[in-house]
Amino acid sequence: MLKDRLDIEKDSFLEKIKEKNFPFHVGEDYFLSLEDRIRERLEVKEPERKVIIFRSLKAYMGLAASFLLIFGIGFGVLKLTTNIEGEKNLADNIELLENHHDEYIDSIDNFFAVNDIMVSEEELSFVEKEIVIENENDEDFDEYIRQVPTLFTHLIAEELSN
Amino acid sequence: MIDDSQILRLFKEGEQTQAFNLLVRQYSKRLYWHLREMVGSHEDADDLLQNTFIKTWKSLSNFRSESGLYTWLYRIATNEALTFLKRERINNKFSFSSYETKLVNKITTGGDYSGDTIQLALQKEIMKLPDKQRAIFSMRYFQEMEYKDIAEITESNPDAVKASYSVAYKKIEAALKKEF
Repeated sequence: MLKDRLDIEKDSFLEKIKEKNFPFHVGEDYFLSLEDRIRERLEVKEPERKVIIFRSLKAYMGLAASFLLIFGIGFGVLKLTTNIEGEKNLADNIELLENHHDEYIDSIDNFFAVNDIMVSEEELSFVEKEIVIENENDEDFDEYIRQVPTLFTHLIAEELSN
Repeated sequence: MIDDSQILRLFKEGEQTQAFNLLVRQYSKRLYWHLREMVGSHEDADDLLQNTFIKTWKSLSNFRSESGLYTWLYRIATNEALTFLKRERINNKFSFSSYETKLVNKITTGGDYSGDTIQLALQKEIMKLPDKQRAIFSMRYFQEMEYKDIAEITESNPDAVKASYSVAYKKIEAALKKEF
């Protein structure tokens, strides 16, 4: 079995893999020509981007002004034509939107934040309390991770079953 | 190997092109492999590496020496990769294949990968990690950077970095043991 060949009883699986040759390659002249390619990008792109940004801004400002005009006309008409009850409903709706605005933004942020996760509170408190105090040196900490098989196994098992 | 303080001194003395060339020569390989581990393909890593150095060039005059030049460069590179990956994730929302599958496929499609079965399995497990956790794992496992430097790069603290790394390490190890 591969397990026996790698002799993982003595050494960590991942440490043995690290001893193998690095599997990725890149052409020999890639790094030699990098400076020239970066210089070309610095010389070429800068003036064009300023013009494009200005033109885009003009278009967006025009669009924003149009929307404001339409909204202003619509709001004015609504204000003139709705009765007292209608005005109260409109105010409630605006208040509802304002109250839930942050929740909506939070839900978007949370969607992206899933992949910004570094560690959960449970994992962090475990490390702080149990490990860091005794293993302040980086190499000692890595050795601890390699030697302790049960670290976070319940979390890992949950992860693998998903 | 040139000291970072020499590069900064050259830049401040007006030898900006020379300073920048030295910076690229000194850090391009390390940054490239860090980016490659994060995004999988040579083309994406190359693009991000160039973006990193372009941003560095534009910001070097504002660089504050409170953080080292090395951790500052890595922070720019890591943030470039995380932003890129976030954009890829959004663009992949309506695709039939998962985001992780696409990342894994990028490892071998370029023709510049020569690892064996177990090395490929390791790379696949790394690609399944959350993006920020992958960055941390790459910096510690492959580049053997100190936890305090990784914490500075990811704008976090060493304890959180250690916890994240240990979870990633054990997760990958368990998956590989299960497969082999």
